[in-house]
Amino acid sequence: MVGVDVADQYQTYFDTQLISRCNGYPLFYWILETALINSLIIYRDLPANKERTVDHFDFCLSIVHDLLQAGSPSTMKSSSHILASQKITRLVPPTQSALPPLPTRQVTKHTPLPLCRKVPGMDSPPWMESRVDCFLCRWRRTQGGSGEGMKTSIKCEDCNEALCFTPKQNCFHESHHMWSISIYSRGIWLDCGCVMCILKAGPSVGPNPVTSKGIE
Amino acid sequence: MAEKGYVWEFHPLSNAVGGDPVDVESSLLQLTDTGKMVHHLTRRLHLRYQNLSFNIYMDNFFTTQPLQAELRQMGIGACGTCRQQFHVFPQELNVGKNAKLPYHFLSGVVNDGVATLLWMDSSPVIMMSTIHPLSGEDSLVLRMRKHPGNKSTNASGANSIFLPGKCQKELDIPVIVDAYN
Repeated sequence: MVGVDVADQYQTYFDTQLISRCNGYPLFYWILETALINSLIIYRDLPANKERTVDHFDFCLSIVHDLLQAGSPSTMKSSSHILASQKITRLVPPTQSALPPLPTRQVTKHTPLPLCRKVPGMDSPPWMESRVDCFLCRWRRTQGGSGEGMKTSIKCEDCNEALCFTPKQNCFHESHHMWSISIYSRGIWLDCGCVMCILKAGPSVGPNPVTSKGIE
Repeated sequence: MAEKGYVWEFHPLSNAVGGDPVDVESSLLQLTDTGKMVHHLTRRLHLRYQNLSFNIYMDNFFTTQPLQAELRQMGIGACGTCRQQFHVFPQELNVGKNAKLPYHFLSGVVNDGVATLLWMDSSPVIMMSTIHPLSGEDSLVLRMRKHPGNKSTNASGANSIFLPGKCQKELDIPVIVDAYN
């Protein structure tokens, strides 16, 4: 039983089965896994790969990248000029972006948690049951800005105001990091120097009584 | 049907509606649905590679005596575990699942060119083969064995063979079992 059992063992390493409501999809995923494993076995038996180890994970990853590249609109126009032999010889995935990669390390019970979790204000913002208009978006409209305000369920605990927290519109980050200034008003330093607190302070916190300490 | 992880052929089978019907000859109607499926796959393999010989190992979902006899006539060797509930199974070896026999008890019969083996490990092991001998020097092979767990069915008889404090010992096991594993 070194035939089917080994094939089943290979399939458990990198499973492609997804939850689906159509009965045909599991069969398709099984055929896809079988085709991947068959191609891996053939690729390992090639004379050029006899002396080196072809990792299963690297092989699957290279196929995923090649499929994504083949399916992109820019590649589909010129895919006829790319030979299949050129695709299969590359086993190193291309760099995705200029962002620094996340550190890959093993997490065990001895792994210490990051210390930044104890810094006030670094925790996740609270979530509200109701969705209300973003405060900063509403303020932008009063300043002549365009666009409609977005509804959000996220609020800032310090400001007690609702703020957008989506990939397209991140008013939470913008108000606390980009526009954040420390304010000296009415003889005291405000606890929170974000733009929301300046606006909530009203007309009394104007250009004259307010002293900007500097942009953080 | 696979070899070292490479899948050569496959055939869909459903518990709800049964297997996808295959074309079999009228002389093979005594086979079960799974037997017809195995015969269909092996015949395709045999027709594609006529100058090669094959040995097929299968589990107890597929193994029956008529199927193994039919594969033997095609020139394809077969071996596999089998179930005692099948009606063509030799009644001499039908001892049940919880039979208490001496450790490494060995017995077998040959019907229609198919050897059926009863071997007592931690529990009874039933196997059928058309390519392995049941008796003679070639029927046993020396392998390192571990003693069964203390709570297994045959623990009292099995542990007497092993030395005190030793959990492993080299013992003779049937070549059918060794080839199947």
